[in-house]
Amino acid sequence: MAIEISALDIEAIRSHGEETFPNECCGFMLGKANGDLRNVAELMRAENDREDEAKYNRFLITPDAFMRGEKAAREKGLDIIGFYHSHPDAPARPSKYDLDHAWPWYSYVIVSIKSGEADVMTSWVLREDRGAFGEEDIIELS
Amino acid sequence: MGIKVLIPTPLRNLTNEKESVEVNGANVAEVFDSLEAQHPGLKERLVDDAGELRRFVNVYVNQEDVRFKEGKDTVLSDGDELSIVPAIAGGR
Amino acid sequence: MTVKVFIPTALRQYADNTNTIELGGDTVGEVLSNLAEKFPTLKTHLFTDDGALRNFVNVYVKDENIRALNFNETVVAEGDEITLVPAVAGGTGILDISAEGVELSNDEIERFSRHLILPEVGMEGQKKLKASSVLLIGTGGLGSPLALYLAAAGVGRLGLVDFDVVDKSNLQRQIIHTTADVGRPKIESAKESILALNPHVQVDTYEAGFTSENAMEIAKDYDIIIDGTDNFPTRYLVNDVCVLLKKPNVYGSIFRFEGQASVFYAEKGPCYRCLYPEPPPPGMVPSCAEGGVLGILPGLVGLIQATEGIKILLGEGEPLLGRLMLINSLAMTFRELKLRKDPSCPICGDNPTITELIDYQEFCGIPQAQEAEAAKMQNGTITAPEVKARLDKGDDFILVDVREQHEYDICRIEGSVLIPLSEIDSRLGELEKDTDIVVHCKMGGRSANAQAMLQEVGYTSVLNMEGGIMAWSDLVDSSVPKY
Repeated sequence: MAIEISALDIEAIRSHGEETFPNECCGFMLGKANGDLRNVAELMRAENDREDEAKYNRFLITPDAFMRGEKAAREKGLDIIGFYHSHPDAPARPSKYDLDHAWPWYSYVIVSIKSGEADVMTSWVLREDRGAFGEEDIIELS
Repeated sequence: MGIKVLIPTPLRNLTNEKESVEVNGANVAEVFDSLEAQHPGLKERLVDDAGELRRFVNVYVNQEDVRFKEGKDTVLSDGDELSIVPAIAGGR
Repeated sequence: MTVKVFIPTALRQYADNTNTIELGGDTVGEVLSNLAEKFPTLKTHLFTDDGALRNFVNVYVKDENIRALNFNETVVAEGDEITLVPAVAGGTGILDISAEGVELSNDEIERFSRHLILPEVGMEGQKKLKASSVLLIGTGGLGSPLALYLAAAGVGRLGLVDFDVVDKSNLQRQIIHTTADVGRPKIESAKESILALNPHVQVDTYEAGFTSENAMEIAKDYDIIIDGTDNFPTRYLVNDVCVLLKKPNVYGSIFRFEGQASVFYAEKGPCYRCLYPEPPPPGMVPSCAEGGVLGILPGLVGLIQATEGIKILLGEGEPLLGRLMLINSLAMTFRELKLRKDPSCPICGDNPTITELIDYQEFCGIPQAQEAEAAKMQNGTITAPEVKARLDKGDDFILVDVREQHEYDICRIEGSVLIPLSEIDSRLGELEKDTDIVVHCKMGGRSANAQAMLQEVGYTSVLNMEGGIMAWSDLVDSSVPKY
């Protein structure tokens, strides 16, 4: 499994995470899937809809926001192929909470923000049995 | 404005052991004055000589700390609940 | 009616990889059951076993969520577009305990079976607990239930800090100690109880006070610090240690019938100083010994602390961070207030002025208060045996007991008059200005205040009985019970 993201979009995810630090950021990745290879055509920022006190370690994209994301994707002939979010001062791997709330198929890109600066970025897809995430390669396109 | 003020245990000796007191006041400072009129001695436990909130007592309007609103000038509406929450320690 | 159903990318693999499907039906419920019939695997992702829509799936008719319309009964019109919308959420725990390399023995698997069958704990969570460590300051009222439940739950390493010995009056609430332990060091007795409950726990004991000198060294290797001492100097010390070492601090406090609990963690939210930058002056808030405490209450509050500790270690649920829980055991109400990080907080704010540990006794005004107390004692004291001798001689003086009625009911000195401290002002008429007066209370503190009050309004001969009725029990009459 692998996901192609342009250098520009990778930078955009990193700076979104730095902007919302110490809170989590989140957004949609629109693009196309071709078998096990996904390609991100564009990003769409989403509001973190958790209450203020919880934003430091939680994100939520409401169904309404998701609808808007789907619509935007359809209009451009794209699909939502996954989501990105940040882990402020926590490692860039899925938490138990992420696992409990994950959907199959989608790519989950996580960027670790250490003391306000973007650090490691990884991407994950839920395994069929829901038991764990499998890591997928991020292919940076110039 | 009718405001319900919740009195914590350590201050109930000043309110005839009442857990809550109904007073009037358009903002926090006015409520303190009304409290003082009904229960003398209460106000000095909450504010210092300059009228500023003491640092070991917090005052909440409903769920919000007034320090993060307008402090003693925080405007109140009818039916608001004012909680006085002092630092407590029970010892071992 | 024929409507279009739009399938999100994640679910297309269960629907022949199509993104829109035309289906018949008059209500949303009918359309969805037709969909489920057509794609049986999709059905399990959308509905629970008893046929209800899973709560992380939302269904929209045009732009409206059916939860805001008529749910499954929502009527659809020809050409309507129905969209299946997943709710997307995620995030991190506030700590990240690694369970790597940790194994559970068969004995442990049996012991923790009720945890292991909870998906939120499971093998992974139980291994995390085993890999984790909690430092408990104090093994008293809050520390007892904390230590026992954390040990029972399988926390791998517990640190205990206490220098006290078990007193009979502790047993009403400090359930980790038993009657046979009276007089023993608390950490010894606590360690024994913990190991009897769960021999797999590593218990490290520190028979010392938790002070600015040893705190950083002791605390640095633990994942979480929980303060069970419930006094101001230790509370500010624990707070500052946790902020400086970047560790979560699970807070609990009790007073008579009420309690407070919260999680302080400056890395992710407020600390205790954001809530109260300074402690009240000593004497403003009576201690348990003076104010009393319902024995069950530390159990209730200690277990809220234990629950928060376990949740943080597991990375499950919503920690009590940025929220202050107020517990009232008489009304049995639990209220919650919002706490915010204070940008001007002296230790975790934008421009901290406290960058290392300070003298917490001094900060909380303890030495100053002790000096004032000592000064009051200079106003003229008399020992319990001297009072006894004067009573026996039939000297002309009044022995005034300034405790409360309910204390007087426990024990009293024959021949004393009860005038509670709070009533002295209004009952001065009962005392002649020129009579000899001796005042006493439980331990000598309140009577020193009474003495000062009387002297101020012109009483010339007022003595304070040293050590109060407790000293009387020790030195004069052991049949008087101590409380």
